Amino acid sequence: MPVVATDISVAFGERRVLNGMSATFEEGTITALRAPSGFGKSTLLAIIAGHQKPDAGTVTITSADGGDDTPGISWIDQASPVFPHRTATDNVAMGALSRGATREESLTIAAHNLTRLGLDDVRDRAGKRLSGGERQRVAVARSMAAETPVILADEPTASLDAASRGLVIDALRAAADAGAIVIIATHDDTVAESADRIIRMDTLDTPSAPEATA
Amino acid sequence: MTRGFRTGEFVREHARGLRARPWRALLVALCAAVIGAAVPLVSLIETGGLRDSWEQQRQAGRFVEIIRAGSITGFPMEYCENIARTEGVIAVGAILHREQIQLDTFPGQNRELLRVSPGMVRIAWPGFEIPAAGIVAGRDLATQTGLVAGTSVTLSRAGTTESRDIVGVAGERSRVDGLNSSLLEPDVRADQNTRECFVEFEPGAASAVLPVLRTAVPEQYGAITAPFLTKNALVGDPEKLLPQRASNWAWVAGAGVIALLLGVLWWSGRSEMALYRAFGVRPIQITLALALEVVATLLLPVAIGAAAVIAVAGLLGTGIGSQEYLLAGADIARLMLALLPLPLLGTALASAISPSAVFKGA
Repeated sequence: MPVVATDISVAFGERRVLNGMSATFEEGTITALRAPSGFGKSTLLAIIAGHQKPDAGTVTITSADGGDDTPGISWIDQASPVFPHRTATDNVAMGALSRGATREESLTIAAHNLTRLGLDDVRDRAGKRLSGGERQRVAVARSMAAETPVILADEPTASLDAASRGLVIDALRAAADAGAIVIIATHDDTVAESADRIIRMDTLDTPSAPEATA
Repeated sequence: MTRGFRTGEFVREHARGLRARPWRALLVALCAAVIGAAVPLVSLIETGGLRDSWEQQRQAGRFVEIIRAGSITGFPMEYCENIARTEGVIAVGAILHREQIQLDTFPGQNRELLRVSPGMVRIAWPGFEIPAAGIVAGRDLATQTGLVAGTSVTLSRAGTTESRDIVGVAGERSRVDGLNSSLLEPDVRADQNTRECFVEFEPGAASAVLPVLRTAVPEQYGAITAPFLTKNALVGDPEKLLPQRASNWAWVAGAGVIALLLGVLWWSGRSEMALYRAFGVRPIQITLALALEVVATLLLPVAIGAAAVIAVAGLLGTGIGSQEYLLAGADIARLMLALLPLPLLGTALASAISPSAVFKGA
Protein backbone atom coordinates (compact mmCIF):
# COMPACT_ATOMS: atom_id res chain seq x y z
CA MET A 1 0.00 0.00 0.00
CA PRO A 2 2.57 2.62 -1.00
CA VAL A 3 1.97 6.31 -1.31
CA VAL A 4 2.90 7.27 -4.83
CA ALA A 5 3.43 10.90 -5.80
CA THR A 6 3.81 11.39 -9.53
CA ASP A 7 5.00 14.50 -11.37
CA ILE A 8 3.90 16.88 -8.64
CA SER A 9 4.29 20.54 -9.57
CA VAL A 10 3.30 23.49 -7.45
CA ALA A 11 4.03 27.17 -7.87
CA PHE A 12 3.13 30.10 -5.64
CA GLY A 13 2.89 32.94 -8.10
CA GLU A 14 6.19 33.13 -9.95
CA ARG A 15 7.94 30.89 -7.46
CA ARG A 16 7.91 27.20 -8.31
CA VAL A 17 8.38 25.09 -5.18
CA LEU A 18 7.83 21.63 -6.66
CA ASN A 19 8.76 20.88 -10.22
CA GLY A 20 7.52 17.51 -11.44
CA MET A 21 8.54 15.68 -8.32
CA SER A 22 7.85 11.96 -8.11
CA ALA A 23 8.40 9.69 -5.16
CA THR A 24 7.14 6.44 -3.71
CA PHE A 25 6.79 5.96 0.04
CA GLU A 26 6.66 2.38 1.21
CA GLU A 27 4.94 0.77 4.18
CA GLY A 28 7.02 0.30 7.31
CA THR A 29 9.47 3.05 6.45
CA ILE A 30 10.28 6.50 7.73
CA THR A 31 11.14 8.98 5.01
CA ALA A 32 12.70 12.32 5.90
CA LEU A 33 12.18 15.24 3.55
CA ARG A 34 15.15 17.57 3.91
CA ALA A 35 15.78 21.00 2.45
CA PRO A 36 16.07 24.58 3.55
CA SER A 37 12.79 26.44 4.02
CA GLY A 38 10.88 27.20 0.82
CA PHE A 39 11.68 24.01 -1.07
CA GLY A 40 8.21 22.55 -0.73
CA LYS A 41 8.57 20.02 2.10
CA SER A 42 5.37 21.13 3.87
CA THR A 43 3.62 21.66 0.54
CA LEU A 44 4.31 18.06 -0.48
CA LEU A 45 2.92 16.82 2.82
CA ALA A 46 -0.19 18.97 2.39
CA ILE A 47 -0.71 17.55 -1.09
CA ILE A 48 -0.32 13.97 0.12
CA ALA A 49 -2.78 14.71 2.94
CA GLY A 50 -5.26 16.14 0.42
CA HIS A 51 -5.21 19.55 2.09
CA GLN A 52 -3.87 21.17 -1.05
CA LYS A 53 -4.20 20.44 -4.75
CA PRO A 54 -1.06 20.40 -6.91
CA ASP A 55 -0.89 22.41 -10.11
CA ALA A 56 -0.02 19.17 -11.83
CA GLY A 57 0.59 15.58 -10.88
CA THR A 58 -1.18 13.01 -8.77
CA VAL A 59 -0.92 11.30 -5.43
CA THR A 60 -2.15 7.73 -5.17
CA ILE A 61 -2.74 6.02 -1.87
CA THR A 62 -4.18 2.56 -2.05
CA SER A 63 -5.88 1.01 0.92
CA ALA A 64 -4.38 -2.13 2.35
CA ASP A 65 -7.19 -4.32 1.06
CA GLY A 66 -7.08 -2.70 -2.37
CA GLY A 67 -10.50 -1.19 -1.89
CA ASP A 68 -11.66 2.28 -2.75
CA ASP A 69 -11.58 3.63 0.80
CA THR A 70 -8.83 6.17 1.30
CA PRO A 71 -6.68 4.99 4.16
CA GLY A 72 -6.48 7.18 7.22
CA ILE A 73 -3.81 9.83 7.28
CA SER A 74 -2.72 11.59 10.40
CA TRP A 75 -1.08 14.96 10.35
CA ILE A 76 1.43 16.22 12.87
CA ASP A 77 1.91 19.92 12.28
CA GLN A 78 4.82 22.07 13.41
CA ALA A 79 2.26 24.46 14.94
CA SER A 80 1.05 21.50 17.02
CA PRO A 81 -2.60 22.51 17.01
CA VAL A 82 -4.56 21.12 19.90
CA PHE A 83 -8.09 21.60 21.16
CA PRO A 84 -7.24 24.44 23.55
CA HIS A 85 -10.10 23.87 25.96
CA ARG A 86 -9.83 20.10 26.14
CA THR A 87 -7.45 18.20 28.37
CA ALA A 88 -4.33 16.51 27.02
CA THR A 89 -6.14 13.19 27.53
CA ASP A 90 -9.12 14.35 25.51
CA ASN A 91 -6.84 15.66 22.79
CA VAL A 92 -5.04 12.34 22.47
CA ALA A 93 -8.28 10.39 22.78
CA MET A 94 -9.51 12.28 19.73
CA GLY A 95 -6.99 10.33 17.67
CA ALA A 96 -8.46 7.02 18.78
CA LEU A 97 -11.99 8.30 18.27
CA SER A 98 -11.05 9.22 14.73
CA ARG A 99 -10.52 5.55 13.94
CA GLY A 100 -13.86 4.52 15.33
CA ALA A 101 -13.05 3.83 18.96
CA THR A 102 -15.65 4.40 21.61
CA ARG A 103 -15.11 7.04 24.26
CA GLU A 104 -14.08 4.42 26.84
CA GLU A 105 -11.67 2.71 24.44
CA SER A 106 -10.20 6.03 23.39
CA LEU A 107 -9.44 7.05 26.97
CA THR A 108 -7.50 3.83 27.53
CA ILE A 109 -5.58 4.30 24.32
CA ALA A 110 -4.93 7.95 25.22
CA ALA A 111 -3.51 7.01 28.63
CA HIS A 112 -1.11 4.56 27.01
CA ASN A 113 0.14 7.07 24.46
CA LEU A 114 0.46 9.91 26.97
CA THR A 115 2.73 7.66 29.04
CA ARG A 116 4.66 6.72 25.93
CA LEU A 117 5.37 10.39 25.14
CA GLY A 118 6.19 11.31 28.76
CA LEU A 119 3.03 13.32 29.31
CA ASP A 120 1.58 11.66 32.40
CA ASP A 121 2.01 14.81 34.46
CA VAL A 122 -0.12 16.94 32.14
CA ARG A 123 -2.86 14.48 31.21
CA ASP A 124 -5.54 16.64 32.86
CA ARG A 125 -4.14 19.98 31.73
CA ALA A 126 -6.10 21.97 29.12
CA GLY A 127 -4.50 22.24 25.72
CA LYS A 128 -4.09 25.99 26.01
CA ARG A 129 -2.04 25.54 29.22
CA LEU A 130 0.46 23.16 27.66
CA SER A 131 3.92 24.37 26.68
CA GLY A 132 4.97 24.32 23.05
CA GLY A 133 6.94 21.12 23.56
CA GLU A 134 4.09 19.45 25.42
CA ARG A 135 1.67 20.39 22.67
CA GLN A 136 4.00 18.90 20.12
CA ARG A 137 4.19 15.63 22.02
CA VAL A 138 0.40 15.64 22.49
CA ALA A 139 0.06 15.98 18.72
CA VAL A 140 2.39 13.02 18.21
CA ALA A 141 0.57 10.98 20.88
CA ARG A 142 -2.72 11.80 19.17
CA SER A 143 -1.32 10.60 15.88
CA MET A 144 -0.12 7.40 17.51
CA ALA A 145 -3.58 6.90 19.03
CA ALA A 146 -5.10 7.27 15.58
CA GLU A 147 -2.98 4.38 14.30
CA THR A 148 -3.34 5.55 10.76
CA PRO A 149 -1.46 3.73 8.00
CA VAL A 150 0.02 7.05 6.86
CA ILE A 151 1.61 9.57 9.23
CA LEU A 152 2.67 12.94 7.86
CA ALA A 153 4.77 15.00 10.24
CA ASP A 154 5.84 18.57 9.58
CA GLU A 155 8.77 19.47 11.85
CA PRO A 156 7.48 17.25 14.70
CA THR A 157 10.46 17.96 16.94
CA ALA A 158 10.87 21.68 16.37
CA SER A 159 10.13 22.66 19.97
CA LEU A 160 11.55 19.68 21.78
CA ASP A 161 14.56 19.05 23.95
CA ALA A 162 16.76 16.05 23.31
CA ALA A 163 14.88 13.73 25.69
CA SER A 164 11.47 14.58 24.26
CA ARG A 165 12.85 14.37 20.74
CA GLY A 166 13.93 10.82 21.51
CA LEU A 167 10.44 9.91 22.70
CA VAL A 168 8.92 11.27 19.49
CA ILE A 169 11.42 9.47 17.29
CA ASP A 170 10.79 6.23 19.18
CA ALA A 171 7.03 6.65 18.72
CA LEU A 172 7.36 7.29 15.00
CA ARG A 173 9.72 4.33 14.65
CA ALA A 174 7.24 2.11 16.47
CA ALA A 175 4.50 3.23 14.10
CA ALA A 176 6.68 2.47 11.08
CA ASP A 177 7.61 -0.91 12.54
CA ALA A 178 3.91 -1.61 12.85
CA GLY A 179 3.58 -1.01 9.11
CA ALA A 180 2.82 2.69 8.85
CA ILE A 181 4.22 4.96 6.15
CA VAL A 182 5.89 7.82 8.01
CA ILE A 183 6.91 10.92 6.07
CA ILE A 184 8.67 13.66 8.01
CA ALA A 185 9.57 17.13 6.85
CA THR A 186 12.42 18.13 9.11
CA HIS A 187 15.47 20.28 9.63
CA ASP A 188 16.45 18.11 12.59
CA ASP A 189 19.55 16.00 11.94
CA THR A 190 18.62 13.58 14.71
CA VAL A 191 15.26 12.90 13.14
CA ALA A 192 16.77 12.60 9.69
CA GLU A 193 19.34 10.13 10.96
CA SER A 194 16.58 7.95 12.35
CA ALA A 195 14.84 7.80 8.96
CA ASP A 196 15.11 4.85 6.61
CA ARG A 197 15.39 7.19 3.66
CA ILE A 198 16.14 10.86 3.12
CA ILE A 199 14.90 12.87 0.17
CA ARG A 200 16.86 16.08 -0.32
CA MET A 201 14.31 18.31 -1.97
CA ASP A 202 16.66 21.18 -2.67
CA THR A 203 18.38 19.03 -5.28
CA LEU A 204 15.17 18.16 -7.12
CA ASP A 205 15.13 21.23 -9.35
CA THR A 206 14.30 19.22 -12.43
CA PRO A 207 11.62 16.56 -12.89
CA SER A 208 12.95 13.73 -10.83
CA ALA A 209 12.95 10.06 -11.36
CA PRO A 210 9.92 8.18 -10.03
CA GLU A 211 11.98 6.98 -7.12
CA ALA A 212 13.66 9.96 -5.58
CA THR A 213 16.44 9.02 -3.23
CA ALA A 214 18.91 10.56 -0.89
CA MET B 1 -12.65 -0.80 14.90
CA THR B 2 -14.06 0.96 11.91
CA ARG B 3 -12.12 3.75 10.27
CA GLY B 4 -13.39 7.25 10.95
CA PHE B 5 -15.24 8.95 13.76
CA ARG B 6 -18.45 7.29 14.89
CA THR B 7 -21.11 9.91 14.30
CA GLY B 8 -22.45 9.69 17.84
CA GLU B 9 -18.98 10.01 19.34
CA PHE B 10 -18.15 13.00 17.16
CA VAL B 11 -21.38 14.78 18.10
CA ARG B 12 -20.68 14.08 21.76
CA GLU B 13 -17.09 15.33 21.39
CA HIS B 14 -18.38 18.52 19.78
CA ALA B 15 -20.80 18.94 22.67
CA ARG B 16 -17.98 18.34 25.17
CA GLY B 17 -16.00 21.01 23.34
CA LEU B 18 -18.89 23.44 23.84
CA ARG B 19 -19.18 22.52 27.51
CA ALA B 20 -15.43 23.03 27.91
CA ARG B 21 -16.03 26.70 27.02
CA PRO B 22 -19.26 27.42 28.89
CA TRP B 23 -18.91 31.19 28.68
CA ARG B 24 -18.81 31.13 24.92
CA ALA B 25 -21.90 28.93 24.68
CA LEU B 26 -23.64 31.03 27.33
CA LEU B 27 -22.80 34.24 25.48
CA VAL B 28 -24.33 32.87 22.29
CA ALA B 29 -27.36 31.54 24.16
CA LEU B 30 -27.84 34.82 26.01
CA CYS B 31 -27.58 36.80 22.80
CA ALA B 32 -30.09 34.45 21.15
CA ALA B 33 -32.48 34.74 24.11
CA VAL B 34 -32.26 38.54 24.06
CA ILE B 35 -32.94 38.62 20.34
CA GLY B 36 -35.68 36.03 20.77
CA ALA B 37 -37.27 38.37 23.32
CA ALA B 38 -36.62 41.55 21.35
CA VAL B 39 -38.22 40.39 18.10
CA PRO B 40 -41.74 39.81 19.49
CA LEU B 41 -41.32 42.74 21.88
CA VAL B 42 -40.73 45.32 19.15
CA SER B 43 -43.48 43.72 17.10
CA LEU B 44 -45.95 43.91 19.99
CA ILE B 45 -44.92 47.48 20.81
CA GLU B 46 -45.23 48.66 17.23
CA THR B 47 -48.49 46.87 16.46
CA GLY B 48 -49.88 48.03 19.80
CA GLY B 49 -48.76 51.58 19.02
CA LEU B 50 -50.39 51.49 15.62
CA ARG B 51 -53.62 50.26 17.12
CA ASP B 52 -53.47 52.83 19.93
CA SER B 53 -52.96 55.64 17.41
CA TRP B 54 -55.78 54.26 15.36
CA GLU B 55 -58.08 54.02 18.38
CA GLN B 56 -57.18 57.55 19.45
CA GLN B 57 -58.03 58.80 15.98
CA ARG B 58 -61.24 56.83 15.97
CA GLN B 59 -62.17 58.52 19.23
CA ALA B 60 -61.18 61.89 17.79
CA GLY B 61 -63.39 61.39 14.74
CA ARG B 62 -61.33 59.40 12.24
CA PHE B 63 -64.57 58.01 10.83
CA VAL B 64 -66.61 61.17 10.89
CA GLU B 65 -67.34 62.96 7.64
CA ILE B 66 -68.98 66.38 7.28
CA ILE B 67 -71.32 67.30 4.48
CA ARG B 68 -71.09 71.12 4.14
CA ALA B 69 -73.70 73.12 2.34
CA GLY B 70 -72.62 75.37 -0.51
CA SER B 71 -74.56 78.37 0.81
CA ILE B 72 -75.39 79.99 4.11
CA THR B 73 -78.99 78.80 3.89
CA GLY B 74 -77.87 75.18 4.15
CA PHE B 75 -79.91 72.18 3.07
CA PRO B 76 -82.96 70.46 4.55
CA MET B 77 -82.20 68.36 7.61
CA GLU B 78 -84.09 65.41 6.17
CA TYR B 79 -81.22 64.69 3.74
CA CYS B 80 -78.95 64.39 6.73
CA GLU B 81 -81.36 62.21 8.71
CA ASN B 82 -81.87 59.91 5.73
CA ILE B 83 -78.21 58.92 5.87
CA ALA B 84 -78.82 57.28 9.26
CA ARG B 85 -80.52 54.40 7.43
CA THR B 86 -77.35 53.52 5.52
CA GLU B 87 -75.73 50.30 6.73
CA GLY B 88 -72.57 50.94 8.72
CA VAL B 89 -73.58 54.43 9.86
CA ILE B 90 -73.31 54.84 13.63
CA ALA B 91 -74.76 58.31 14.03
CA VAL B 92 -75.73 61.44 12.12
CA GLY B 93 -76.11 64.86 13.65
CA ALA B 94 -76.27 68.52 12.83
CA ILE B 95 -76.40 71.92 14.47
CA LEU B 96 -79.74 73.44 13.50
CA HIS B 97 -79.62 76.83 15.11
CA ARG B 98 -77.30 79.02 17.21
CA GLU B 99 -78.37 81.92 19.40
CA GLN B 100 -76.68 84.03 22.05
CA ILE B 101 -78.21 83.74 25.54
CA GLN B 102 -77.38 85.18 28.93
CA LEU B 103 -77.32 82.92 31.94
CA ASP B 104 -78.96 85.15 34.54
CA THR B 105 -78.26 82.58 37.23
CA PHE B 106 -74.56 83.19 36.64
CA PRO B 107 -74.13 86.92 35.96
CA GLY B 108 -71.80 87.81 33.13
CA GLN B 109 -72.07 84.41 31.44
CA ASN B 110 -73.08 85.00 27.83
CA ARG B 111 -73.11 81.74 25.96
CA GLU B 112 -74.44 80.06 22.86
CA LEU B 113 -77.52 77.88 22.98
CA LEU B 114 -77.28 75.40 20.16
CA ARG B 115 -80.28 73.59 18.94
CA VAL B 116 -79.03 70.31 17.54
CA SER B 117 -80.46 67.14 16.09
CA PRO B 118 -80.66 64.32 18.68
CA GLY B 119 -77.85 62.40 16.96
CA MET B 120 -75.48 65.34 17.43
CA VAL B 121 -74.99 64.41 21.07
CA ARG B 122 -73.62 61.04 19.95
CA ILE B 123 -71.41 62.73 17.38
CA ALA B 124 -70.04 65.23 19.92
CA TRP B 125 -69.70 62.83 22.85
CA PRO B 126 -69.49 59.23 21.53
CA GLY B 127 -70.51 56.71 24.12
CA PHE B 128 -71.65 59.37 26.53
CA GLU B 129 -75.29 59.03 27.57
CA ILE B 130 -77.14 62.32 27.79
CA PRO B 131 -80.90 62.66 27.90
CA ALA B 132 -82.29 63.44 24.49
CA ALA B 133 -84.75 65.99 25.85
CA GLY B 134 -83.85 69.11 27.81
CA ILE B 135 -80.77 71.29 27.89
CA VAL B 136 -77.28 69.79 28.11
CA ALA B 137 -74.29 71.82 29.33
CA GLY B 138 -70.83 71.47 27.84
CA ARG B 139 -68.02 70.44 30.16
CA ASP B 140 -66.13 73.75 30.25
CA LEU B 141 -69.30 75.68 30.96
CA ALA B 142 -70.22 73.32 33.77
CA THR B 143 -66.72 73.57 35.25
CA GLN B 144 -66.72 77.35 35.18
CA THR B 145 -70.21 77.80 36.60
CA GLY B 146 -70.71 74.74 38.80
CA LEU B 147 -73.70 73.57 36.78
CA VAL B 148 -74.82 70.03 37.51
CA ALA B 149 -77.65 67.92 36.18
CA GLY B 150 -80.92 69.11 37.74
CA THR B 151 -79.82 72.74 38.13
CA SER B 152 -82.47 75.21 37.07
CA VAL B 153 -81.15 78.20 35.14
CA THR B 154 -82.68 81.43 33.90
CA LEU B 155 -81.99 82.22 30.26
CA SER B 156 -82.43 85.69 28.78
CA ARG B 157 -82.56 86.36 25.06
CA ALA B 158 -83.96 89.10 22.93
CA GLY B 159 -85.88 90.62 25.85
CA THR B 160 -87.46 87.35 26.98
CA THR B 161 -86.55 85.32 30.05
CA GLU B 162 -87.33 81.70 30.78
CA SER B 163 -86.36 79.15 33.38
CA ARG B 164 -85.00 75.79 32.15
CA ASP B 165 -83.63 72.69 33.84
CA ILE B 166 -80.19 71.34 32.95
CA VAL B 167 -80.83 67.62 32.31
CA GLY B 168 -77.26 66.61 31.75
CA VAL B 169 -73.67 67.75 31.90
CA ALA B 170 -71.09 66.38 29.46
CA GLY B 171 -68.34 64.65 31.40
CA GLU B 172 -65.95 64.51 28.46
CA ARG B 173 -64.63 67.17 26.15
CA SER B 174 -66.60 67.31 22.93
CA ARG B 175 -64.72 66.46 19.79
CA VAL B 176 -66.64 69.22 18.00
CA ASP B 177 -65.17 72.64 18.70
CA GLY B 178 -67.35 75.15 20.54
CA LEU B 179 -69.69 72.70 22.19
CA ASN B 180 -67.74 72.51 25.44
CA SER B 181 -68.67 76.00 26.52
CA SER B 182 -72.23 76.01 25.18
CA LEU B 183 -75.66 74.78 26.04
CA LEU B 184 -77.20 72.22 23.73
CA GLU B 185 -80.85 71.60 23.20
CA PRO B 186 -81.73 68.55 21.15
CA ASP B 187 -84.50 69.32 18.68
CA VAL B 188 -86.49 66.63 16.93
CA ARG B 189 -87.94 68.84 14.20
CA ALA B 190 -86.66 67.70 10.80
CA ASP B 191 -88.19 70.47 8.76
CA GLN B 192 -85.24 72.79 9.30
CA ASN B 193 -82.06 73.47 7.39
CA THR B 194 -78.53 72.82 8.48
CA ARG B 195 -75.21 73.96 7.06
CA GLU B 196 -73.22 70.94 8.31
CA CYS B 197 -74.23 67.32 8.63
CA PHE B 198 -71.92 65.11 10.70
CA VAL B 199 -71.87 61.38 9.89
CA GLU B 200 -69.98 58.74 11.84
CA PHE B 201 -69.62 55.24 10.46
CA GLU B 202 -68.00 51.92 11.26
CA PRO B 203 -64.29 51.71 10.29
CA GLY B 204 -64.98 48.86 7.91
CA ALA B 205 -67.89 50.62 6.22
CA ALA B 206 -66.01 53.56 4.69
CA SER B 207 -66.06 52.23 1.15
CA ALA B 208 -69.84 51.71 1.31
CA VAL B 209 -70.76 54.90 3.18
CA LEU B 210 -68.58 57.54 1.48
CA PRO B 211 -70.27 57.24 -1.96
CA VAL B 212 -73.65 57.57 -0.25
CA LEU B 213 -72.55 60.80 1.44
CA ARG B 214 -71.46 62.34 -1.86
CA THR B 215 -74.94 61.92 -3.30
CA ALA B 216 -77.01 62.31 -0.13
CA VAL B 217 -77.71 66.01 -0.72
CA PRO B 218 -79.07 67.12 -4.11
CA GLU B 219 -76.62 68.97 -6.33
CA GLN B 220 -78.61 72.19 -6.16
CA TYR B 221 -77.35 72.76 -2.60
CA GLY B 222 -73.71 72.64 -3.70
CA ALA B 223 -72.75 70.42 -0.77
CA ILE B 224 -69.30 68.92 -0.48
CA THR B 225 -68.05 66.10 1.72
CA ALA B 226 -64.88 66.38 3.79
CA PRO B 227 -63.26 64.42 6.62
CA PHE B 228 -63.88 65.78 10.09
CA LEU B 229 -60.17 65.47 10.90
CA THR B 230 -57.70 67.19 8.62
CA LYS B 231 -56.15 64.73 6.20
CA ASN B 232 -52.59 65.36 7.27
CA ALA B 233 -53.54 64.36 10.81
CA LEU B 234 -54.82 60.97 9.76
CA VAL B 235 -52.91 57.81 10.59
CA GLY B 236 -53.09 54.84 8.30
CA ASP B 237 -55.28 51.82 8.74
CA PRO B 238 -53.34 49.42 10.96
CA GLU B 239 -54.66 46.48 8.99
CA LYS B 240 -52.88 47.91 5.97
CA LEU B 241 -49.87 49.21 7.87
CA LEU B 242 -49.11 46.05 9.84
CA PRO B 243 -47.67 44.08 6.92
CA GLN B 244 -45.33 47.01 6.17
CA ARG B 245 -44.41 47.79 9.76
CA ALA B 246 -40.74 48.39 10.55
CA SER B 247 -40.69 45.59 13.13
CA ASN B 248 -41.47 43.26 10.26
CA TRP B 249 -37.73 43.33 9.65
CA ALA B 250 -36.66 42.78 13.25
CA TRP B 251 -36.29 39.05 12.67
CA VAL B 252 -33.97 39.75 9.73
CA ALA B 253 -31.78 41.99 11.87
CA GLY B 254 -31.89 39.46 14.70
CA ALA B 255 -30.93 36.59 12.42
CA GLY B 256 -28.14 38.73 10.98
CA VAL B 257 -26.70 39.53 14.40
CA ILE B 258 -26.88 35.89 15.49
CA ALA B 259 -25.34 34.65 12.24
CA LEU B 260 -22.58 37.25 12.53
CA LEU B 261 -21.84 36.33 16.13
CA LEU B 262 -21.83 32.63 15.39
CA GLY B 263 -19.77 33.21 12.25
CA VAL B 264 -17.14 35.10 14.25
CA LEU B 265 -17.05 32.37 16.91
CA TRP B 266 -16.86 29.59 14.35
CA TRP B 267 -14.15 31.44 12.47
CA SER B 268 -12.17 31.96 15.66
CA GLY B 269 -12.48 28.21 16.31
CA ARG B 270 -11.58 27.19 12.79
CA SER B 271 -8.35 25.52 13.90
CA GLU B 272 -10.42 23.04 15.91
CA MET B 273 -12.64 22.41 12.92
CA ALA B 274 -9.47 21.99 10.85
CA LEU B 275 -8.31 19.36 13.36
CA TYR B 276 -11.58 17.51 12.94
CA ARG B 277 -11.17 17.74 9.19
CA ALA B 278 -7.64 16.40 9.53
CA PHE B 279 -9.13 13.48 11.47
CA GLY B 280 -11.33 12.74 8.48
CA VAL B 281 -14.62 13.85 9.97
CA ARG B 282 -17.22 13.81 7.21
CA PRO B 283 -19.24 16.90 6.24
CA ILE B 284 -22.52 15.25 7.21
CA GLN B 285 -21.12 14.60 10.69
CA ILE B 286 -20.07 18.26 10.98
CA THR B 287 -23.54 19.33 9.84
CA LEU B 288 -25.19 17.11 12.44
CA ALA B 289 -22.96 18.40 15.26
CA LEU B 290 -23.50 22.02 14.25
CA ALA B 291 -27.24 21.42 13.93
CA LEU B 292 -27.36 20.22 17.53
CA GLU B 293 -25.24 23.22 18.56
CA VAL B 294 -27.66 25.56 16.78
CA VAL B 295 -30.66 23.91 18.42
CA ALA B 296 -29.14 24.01 21.91
CA THR B 297 -27.48 27.42 21.84
CA LEU B 298 -29.75 29.33 19.44
CA LEU B 299 -33.19 27.92 18.73
CA LEU B 300 -33.95 26.92 22.30
CA PRO B 301 -32.86 30.26 23.81
CA VAL B 302 -34.73 32.15 21.06
CA ALA B 303 -37.88 30.19 21.89
CA ILE B 304 -37.40 30.77 25.62
CA GLY B 305 -36.83 34.53 25.16
CA ALA B 306 -39.87 34.86 22.92
CA ALA B 307 -42.06 32.77 25.20
CA ALA B 308 -41.00 34.87 28.19
CA VAL B 309 -42.00 38.12 26.48
CA ILE B 310 -45.32 36.74 25.30
CA ALA B 311 -46.05 35.24 28.71
CA VAL B 312 -45.23 38.51 30.49
CA ALA B 313 -47.33 40.49 28.01
CA GLY B 314 -50.21 38.11 28.61
CA LEU B 315 -49.83 38.30 32.39
CA LEU B 316 -49.72 42.09 32.34
CA GLY B 317 -52.97 42.04 30.41
CA THR B 318 -51.81 44.80 28.13
CA GLY B 319 -54.79 44.42 25.84
CA ILE B 320 -52.80 42.75 23.10
CA GLY B 321 -55.06 41.11 20.57
CA SER B 322 -54.68 37.67 19.05
CA GLN B 323 -53.58 39.21 15.77
CA GLU B 324 -50.65 40.93 17.45
CA TYR B 325 -49.61 37.62 19.02
CA LEU B 326 -49.89 35.93 15.63
CA LEU B 327 -47.72 38.59 14.01
CA ALA B 328 -45.12 38.32 16.77
CA GLY B 329 -45.24 34.53 16.53
CA ALA B 330 -44.77 34.69 12.77
CA ASP B 331 -41.72 36.91 13.24
CA ILE B 332 -40.23 34.43 15.69
CA ALA B 333 -40.96 31.55 13.32
CA ARG B 334 -39.21 33.45 10.52
CA LEU B 335 -36.23 34.11 12.78
CA MET B 336 -35.93 30.45 13.69
CA LEU B 337 -36.31 29.36 10.08
CA ALA B 338 -33.59 31.81 9.10
CA LEU B 339 -31.24 30.16 11.62
CA LEU B 340 -31.84 26.64 10.31
CA PRO B 341 -29.35 26.88 7.39
CA LEU B 342 -26.53 27.92 9.74
CA PRO B 343 -25.24 24.34 10.22
CA LEU B 344 -24.97 24.01 6.45
CA LEU B 345 -23.09 27.30 6.24
CA GLY B 346 -20.81 26.17 9.05
CA THR B 347 -20.18 22.91 7.20
CA ALA B 348 -19.38 24.83 4.04
CA LEU B 349 -16.96 26.99 6.03
CA ALA B 350 -15.34 23.89 7.55
CA SER B 351 -15.10 22.21 4.16
CA ALA B 352 -13.55 25.27 2.56
CA ILE B 353 -10.64 25.47 4.96
CA SER B 354 -7.39 23.65 4.39
CA PRO B 355 -6.23 22.16 7.69
CA SER B 356 -2.55 22.62 6.88
CA ALA B 357 -3.16 26.25 5.84
CA VAL B 358 -5.09 26.92 9.05
CA PHE B 359 -2.38 25.30 11.18
CA LYS B 360 0.26 27.44 9.53
CA GLY B 361 -1.74 30.50 10.46
CA ALA B 362 -2.47 29.20 13.97
